[in-house]
Amino acid sequence: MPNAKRDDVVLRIAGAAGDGISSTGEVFALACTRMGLSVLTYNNFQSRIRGGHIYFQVRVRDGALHSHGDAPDLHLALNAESVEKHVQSLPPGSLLLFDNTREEVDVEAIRARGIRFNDLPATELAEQAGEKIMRNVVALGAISQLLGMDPQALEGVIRDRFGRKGPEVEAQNVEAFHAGRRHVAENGQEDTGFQLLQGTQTGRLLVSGNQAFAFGALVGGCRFVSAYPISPATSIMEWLSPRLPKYHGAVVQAEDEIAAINMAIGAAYGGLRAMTTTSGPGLSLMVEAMGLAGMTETPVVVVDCQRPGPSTGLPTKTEQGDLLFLIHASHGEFPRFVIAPATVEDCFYQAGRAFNLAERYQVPVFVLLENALSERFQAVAPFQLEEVVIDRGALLSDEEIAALGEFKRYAITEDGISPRAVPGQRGGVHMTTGVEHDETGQYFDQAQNRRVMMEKRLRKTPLMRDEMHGPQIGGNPAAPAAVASWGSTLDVVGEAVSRLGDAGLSLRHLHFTDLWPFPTEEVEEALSGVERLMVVEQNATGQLARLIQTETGRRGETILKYDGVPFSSGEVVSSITGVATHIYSR
Amino acid sequence: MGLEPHNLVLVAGIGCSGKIISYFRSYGFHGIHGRTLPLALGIHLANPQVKLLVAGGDGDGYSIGLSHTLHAIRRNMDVTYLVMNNQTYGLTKGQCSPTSDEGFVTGSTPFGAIEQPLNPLALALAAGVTFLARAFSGQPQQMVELIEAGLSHKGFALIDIFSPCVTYNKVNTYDWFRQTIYDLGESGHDSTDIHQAMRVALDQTRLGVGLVYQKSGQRSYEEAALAEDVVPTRQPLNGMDYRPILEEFV
Repeated sequence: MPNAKRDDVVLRIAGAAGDGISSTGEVFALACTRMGLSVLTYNNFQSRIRGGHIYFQVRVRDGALHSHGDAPDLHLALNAESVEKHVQSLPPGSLLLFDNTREEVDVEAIRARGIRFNDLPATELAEQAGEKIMRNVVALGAISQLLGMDPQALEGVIRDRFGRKGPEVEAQNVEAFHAGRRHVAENGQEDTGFQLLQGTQTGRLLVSGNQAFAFGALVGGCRFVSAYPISPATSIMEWLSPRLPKYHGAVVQAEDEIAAINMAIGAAYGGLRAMTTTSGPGLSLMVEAMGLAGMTETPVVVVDCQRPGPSTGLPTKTEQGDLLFLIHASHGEFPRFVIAPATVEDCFYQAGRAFNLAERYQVPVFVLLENALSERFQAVAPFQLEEVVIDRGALLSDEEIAALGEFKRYAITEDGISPRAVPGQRGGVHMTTGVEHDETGQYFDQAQNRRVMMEKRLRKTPLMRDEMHGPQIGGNPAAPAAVASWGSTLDVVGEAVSRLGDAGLSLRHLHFTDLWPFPTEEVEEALSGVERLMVVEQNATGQLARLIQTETGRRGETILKYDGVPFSSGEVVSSITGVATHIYSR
Repeated sequence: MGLEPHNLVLVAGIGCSGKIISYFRSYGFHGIHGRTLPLALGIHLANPQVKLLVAGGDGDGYSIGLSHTLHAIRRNMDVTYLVMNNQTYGLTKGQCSPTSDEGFVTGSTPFGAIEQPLNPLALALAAGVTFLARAFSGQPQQMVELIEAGLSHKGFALIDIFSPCVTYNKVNTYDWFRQTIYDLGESGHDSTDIHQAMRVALDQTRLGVGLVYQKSGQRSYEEAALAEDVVPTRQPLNGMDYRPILEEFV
């Protein structure tokens, strides 16, 4: 047991779906955020709303936080199954909190493993405070006492949450919270070696990846969302649903994903910044319409909150399996963007960027999120709203159309970008079509026109490529051994690289967010001097590795995880040291 | 009707019916097969003040797009949907469609179609359509009047138009229709009575042409979804204060 008070804590709450696990975890996360601590969460849920086994993990510390941690320091088990399933992963010295009065577990065996078992009769204490449904609040009280937390922040969040249900409910829950604290204090388990004090990162927001993206879209001018509910994308639509109408936007729950993407294309044609949000199965349905957006040069943002496939796969787990699919999706050829935000904060800023790119180049933009990022809550610095700039590209005003004289929607231009007009604008009347067409948008199948039009569309590609950033470079930028990653694994791979650096293994970390058009020049520059490339990704076939190889010729060794659970930095570390045969000093 | 071209949007689907778009000088979107109605909804939620005319065939509207047709009706989207029903797939050279007669012999049904035909009027009524008409391209004046009535109707107007395919449908020809149809107006049909409308729809032996059913005054989807007199596409995107939302995350 450590002597110094520890302030880097991993809390895991496990039980059955319907036990209030994520709301309990979120209350804890929000309280820690208000205390100025860094917070990062991870949901391991099943595709069900009752029963089964699920857990929520939240890591808290004062200072930078890059992953949700490895093994838990404190495990709150809401049923016996949650003890049995997790006892193997609880390290000696960790705390286990369980209500042993309702079901029974083998406390002796648990203690023999060095785990500090704490019996908490939460249901009984909750009943005494008023209602047995408050047992999770009792547990929060116990947790706060075990972690040496000042109760103020947690009590504040509890008051905010339950205050809405009336003063009596609020008072009962506060009493239940303190009952939990008292039980731990009175049963002599106070000095656990943990102390979560006020942190230095005050003024932070607790936001999930999906919430950040949704908010970023709103601020970035999105005024139309059409979607079909699907895990884990639904919360983007639901966050925008009550808010977008206040800004004269609309959110439509479509009858299916095919309708959803076509509605978004229609809304974009009508002049709105439009988006559809989905996951793998929905994306597959949308493929034909992606080509329609490409052929008609209609700007639209399509968000893929990735989950394991193929087919229905694992609806509530995580994977990075759709990269190559999105780069190539739909028959025929047309330019597109594919970007993959790296953190919760990045989700906010990339959303506005996605709409700018879509309208500037009049192409579809695919945004790759991932379950582990979509559902992750993290304490972030308040978003800099004034940094979000709206650029609508060649969308013409009424005056600009009048000045043109003749309006041709698909006018051949040097950069391939043609002027846009929308229904209701006098002088901009035109037809738009998925069939090959001439400059006015009329169907035209003649050979030379086809060549000219295909070249016009593809001519945008070099300009689009210029917009793409090369990989972010971390670790030791001059090291001959490099680790590449993409999307949501920035923090966890960054943490692994840092840990390895401290242990004497020097690595260059290349993290990709801009994936298509592939920023080949910048990547080749970032890879210069690299003798050994390892590519870390959460899929089974090494899609980023294949992309790097196709575009630059560089082969990498792959470190892959495809069990539906995100990498921990420990796993990345041991995989890399399993692969590396040389130690490069700093 | 006094509509200016820039205030009209024609959304067309795939098939011979989709070619209608070349004959119009207005805004238009020639979309993918069966997906005209979702496109139209998106366009109308960007600018509800333009008139929306949607055109398709029995493939676009009753086969691949059937689900969208029913949901559009459910929404009471303020569009007029012309379905050029010729009971065949002409552009792909004459396969049967969901409205082909049972036993119809085509390239894909050499022994005769073994499915019962769909009843689009009955389906539309069951889905809650607020304007339902049937027209015949052999009676163009009546057809035009019905289209105008549909455009004036607030809400979803479905006009199923018998438009015989002279190339691929040698059964349901102009002559065949002239012998099978009767005029609803002249027969004393009450178009405000849904039960009468359903009887007309279910009658397979005589095909009533004219206004089958109309229910006025029902709120359209666009009215329910958007604030009055707001044209979303004309709203500015700059100068909004989003700071209050930041407080929700604390």
